[in-house]
Amino acid sequence: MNRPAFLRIALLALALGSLAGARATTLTVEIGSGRDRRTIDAAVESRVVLFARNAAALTHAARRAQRRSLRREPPPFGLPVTVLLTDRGRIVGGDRSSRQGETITLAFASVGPLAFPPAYRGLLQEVFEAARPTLDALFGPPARGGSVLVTNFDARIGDRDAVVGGIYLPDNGSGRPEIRFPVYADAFGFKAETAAVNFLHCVLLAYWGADPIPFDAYQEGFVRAVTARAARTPGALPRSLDRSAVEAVLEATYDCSPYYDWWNQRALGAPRFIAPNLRDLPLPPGGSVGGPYLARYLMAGTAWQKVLVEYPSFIAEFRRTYHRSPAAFRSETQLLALAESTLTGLAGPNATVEGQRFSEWHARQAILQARLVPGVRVMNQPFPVLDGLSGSDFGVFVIQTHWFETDARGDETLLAGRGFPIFWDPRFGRFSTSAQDDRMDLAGGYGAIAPNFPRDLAAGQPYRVVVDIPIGDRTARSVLPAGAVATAAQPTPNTFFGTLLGFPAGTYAVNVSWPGGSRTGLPVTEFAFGAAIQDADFLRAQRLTVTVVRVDAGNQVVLRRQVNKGPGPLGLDLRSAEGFQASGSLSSGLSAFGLLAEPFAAYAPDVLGTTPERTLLARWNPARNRFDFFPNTGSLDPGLGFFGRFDAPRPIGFFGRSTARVPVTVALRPGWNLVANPRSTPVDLARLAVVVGSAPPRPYAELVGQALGTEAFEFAPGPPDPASGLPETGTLRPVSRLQPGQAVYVRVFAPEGAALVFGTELEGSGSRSGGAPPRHWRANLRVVGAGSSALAQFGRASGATRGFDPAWDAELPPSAGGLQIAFAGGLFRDVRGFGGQELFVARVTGLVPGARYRVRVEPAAGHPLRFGIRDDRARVDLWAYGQAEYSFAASASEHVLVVTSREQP
Amino acid sequence: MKLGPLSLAVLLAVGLAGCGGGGTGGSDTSIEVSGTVVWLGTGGAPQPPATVQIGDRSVQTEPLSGAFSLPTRPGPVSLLVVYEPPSGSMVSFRFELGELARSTDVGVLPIGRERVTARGRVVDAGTSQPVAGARVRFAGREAATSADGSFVLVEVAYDPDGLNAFFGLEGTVDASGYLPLTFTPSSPAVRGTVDLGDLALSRPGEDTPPPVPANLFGRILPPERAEGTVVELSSGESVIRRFTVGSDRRYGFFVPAGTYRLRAFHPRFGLSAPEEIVTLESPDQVIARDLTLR
Repeated sequence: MNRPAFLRIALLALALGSLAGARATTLTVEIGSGRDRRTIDAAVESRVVLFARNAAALTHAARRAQRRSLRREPPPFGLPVTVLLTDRGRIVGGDRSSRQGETITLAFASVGPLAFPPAYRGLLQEVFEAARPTLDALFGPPARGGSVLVTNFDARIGDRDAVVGGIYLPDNGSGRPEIRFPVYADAFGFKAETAAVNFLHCVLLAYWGADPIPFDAYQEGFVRAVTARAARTPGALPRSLDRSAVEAVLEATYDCSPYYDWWNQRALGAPRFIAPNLRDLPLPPGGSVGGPYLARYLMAGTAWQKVLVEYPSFIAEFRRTYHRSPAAFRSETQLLALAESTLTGLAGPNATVEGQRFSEWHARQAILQARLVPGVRVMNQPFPVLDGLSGSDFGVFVIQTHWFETDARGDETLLAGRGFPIFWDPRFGRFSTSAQDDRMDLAGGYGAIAPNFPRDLAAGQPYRVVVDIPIGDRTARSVLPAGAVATAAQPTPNTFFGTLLGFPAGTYAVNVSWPGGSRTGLPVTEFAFGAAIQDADFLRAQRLTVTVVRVDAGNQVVLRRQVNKGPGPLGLDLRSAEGFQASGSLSSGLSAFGLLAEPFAAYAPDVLGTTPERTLLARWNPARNRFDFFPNTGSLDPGLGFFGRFDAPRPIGFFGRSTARVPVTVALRPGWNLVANPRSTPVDLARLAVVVGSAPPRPYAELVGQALGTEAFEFAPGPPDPASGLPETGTLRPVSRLQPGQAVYVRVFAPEGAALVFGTELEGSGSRSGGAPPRHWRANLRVVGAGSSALAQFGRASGATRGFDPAWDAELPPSAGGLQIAFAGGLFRDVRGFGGQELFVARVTGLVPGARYRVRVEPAAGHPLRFGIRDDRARVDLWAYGQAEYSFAASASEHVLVVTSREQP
Repeated sequence: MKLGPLSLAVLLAVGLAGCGGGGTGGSDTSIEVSGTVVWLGTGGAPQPPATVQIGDRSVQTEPLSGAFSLPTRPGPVSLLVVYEPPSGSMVSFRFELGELARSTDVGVLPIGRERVTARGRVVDAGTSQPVAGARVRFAGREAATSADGSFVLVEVAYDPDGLNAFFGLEGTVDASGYLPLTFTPSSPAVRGTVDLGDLALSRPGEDTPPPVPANLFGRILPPERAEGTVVELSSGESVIRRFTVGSDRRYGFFVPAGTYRLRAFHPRFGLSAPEEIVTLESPDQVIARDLTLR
């Protein structure tokens, strides 16, 4: 792993003492005791321009990718922000006490450079007047009423796609609150819809006032959720505005409802959405780095919109209490308690959100985990490509990956490196798409691929693809429904789609009901489903009930989930064991362990039930050749091993996802890696699958001495320390069988690292879930030209060999003297076993020199995976999936080409 | 939209057919030099195509991928890429490919608006000692490390507006007795120089796993009296750990943040070390403290 310049920037930030306090996205500008308006304005402008420029750079890559999911050209990017002026650290402005109940009036600057063009001012006034009742209802009254000055602020940030989104100053230095707002316009005139949405946002900042919540998950989330809901409320925006253009603004930075399930990953959570070091110091030139920043803003708004679907006045009621005493709500625990009591006040002690008690619901929303969790984190941010599908496009997704490291101060380092994506088919066999998707280069914390999952894998039906991106020592996983959203053959996107994970093989269907209707029996094929529900009632933001039924078990309901959806389509990632309550015990003294399930909480003390100061955790970091100690050990992902030291046997119980029926992929770096068996049964290390680069999975035992070291080592606690009475040290000894939760060191030689795959429980006993039929496939190799054609077949099958297999292979029929293809050994059909790479050397004879021939490879039976063709004379060397075609001019009567097939065992 | 496999194959075939030489020159060629030219400004193929020249033969890069293939004679090969971007002035980059005896894919050859120097150091991952004589390859450039492990690559293509593409360029390090290493740059150029940092190589034969964790550790001196030394760690009035030093002459404790007293003595030799007070400010702080017996 390389350590980018941002680490140095973070250190520089410390040296300069320029890190802001824990005020989330709210900016502070120190003005001292001076009150010169020009000086203050210059300082404010400098601060917000830097923030806007950095925010633009940090979201550039994600916004560029986002263009492929938005239905129209995205609006200019901007993040409205509150700026607090400070005098030697104290917020400027006398009385900040709440005076809820008063109203805000807007006083627009009418002359001079701070005045807006009259038509634009009219638009903003109209927006405010139209939205005010809705804002009051959703957000509650302003913390303090009175007149707010609104001025024209048009600072350039050097990015044609991004602007300063608007500023709210509770005190502009002359004792007056002020909104500074840009003129959103292009060559065709004002961008009225962009202006309207961003102005609503700024007005809400003015409603909030000078005491923002110190965590972006709440502060940004609340404002974004209400902005989006208000903008969509009929009559809350002027009728002259184009609704679809308003929707485009919301989709760009406020609402990601359709993909919320897919992006709900633990790496999102942070007290501040943009880390202080990335926010406050100029980023390197180039202006295009990555990180989960846009996703954080989108997810926060969407998460709280889910609550508003059930409790429209939730935020208003929350604020009513908060503003009475902001100082009482400065920690995550205090805020969570306030949210719970607010909900209780609205709906009684048994109130739920999406069918879950608030604390449980909150725990599942990664973006709302405002606790600082240092360590390396990786997350995927996928979305389906909907526009421009053609040809063989079936399951085209953009998968963005963010890889970064958070330190104990909350600063984030954007990492650079390489990952090798793994695509798992519905039965957890690895398959490939195209060579460009075989690897993902990440730079500035960001990488992306755009695989097209092929139609042939499930005979044209939707199917589930589990995408693992192992990078460094962490793995990001996405579960995607190939062929279930939009395809070239069915370009109109479905409105309801998703996947099932962790369910045994069987025949399933999905039912969905909403207040105005229902759809039942939506078929699930290969654990994926997609349907076009065009009912306008369905497309509204509302509560849905989704049930998964096992059709081949008398329509038994195997999962019921309530979903508060946003407007438009909905994608779901349905897991069989979502609310798993894990329990167990860790030994006293020093031990090496791993978890058997995936906790929702990312912070180790929350999982282990320890206090931070008594949490002793360590994890070997082969990239740095030393241990990382808590809190820098990151989240306790299943499959990762940790050393822990406890004063007494430690019972642990946490809320999370079971991984019992789902293979766990563990990323391994070159060097020694501490991994742990996440299964509830022992596993033989030699039988685990290992993936190196883009190669097919191979048994651990086969790679020993090549990509892997010859020995793995377990930790054996030593005798009790004479003073503590507990084992404080121990020894490492070779091991071949891993007990549940046992951590071991494995050595990786492969310079690109590797991925270790712990299979399912059932696979561990030697059979596959659901008793899948024996695997096999065959493909035709056809050569056509000069008025004749020839055919041969190659393939792979369980149990076949490289030799002649009567059950699979066939010798070439007697030659008629014309065009003919034979594989080595004179075979018409050559079928080999699964596992590793096979070369099929085909000799084409009977060609007419000078004539042109077309070579075509196409499926004949089953679903062939990826294969390569090398034809030196035709200068062809390609990898393809399913089928391929090229032509050559015969220079002799014979021609040789080589087909390469790589398959997992 | 994405190209399907079939269309990709056709395009590849067409592209290859379209790349078939274009220059003039001798007929005594026997090897092919192939590769891909990347314009760092966009991170993709040069548009319009660039010209690749070896000797008196030249070819245009393939429009979609930037790939090229050019015949030449075995021997030292010098390759020139000339490109005129739609805006800005023409650039040319020369790559010395060394002695080629057989057909070779030279991989990605980046070209950019600017040229910088890339520097770094190759070290042993286990000892942090410099590795001399390692071969470092990056961006079509190659250098050997000197006695202090350092290397310098000159004329490296660069574009400040194409940092994502630049950061994605992969380099390799090879050295006898070490596992090969791949790396990517992670810092932009500062005053014409990119710092690649320390590149750490691992030895394949290092089969000793890491030790158990300790955040307070050290050596016992003098080494010949170390084994058998008892090191006690106290918190307040209580001894909370007692460690007996082994043949590695080291002690280690894994303890929470706090202030501790550290005491070492050798019961057989009657030696002891002066008591030390150590404070761990946080659980991730690591303190190394050697103790000398007297």
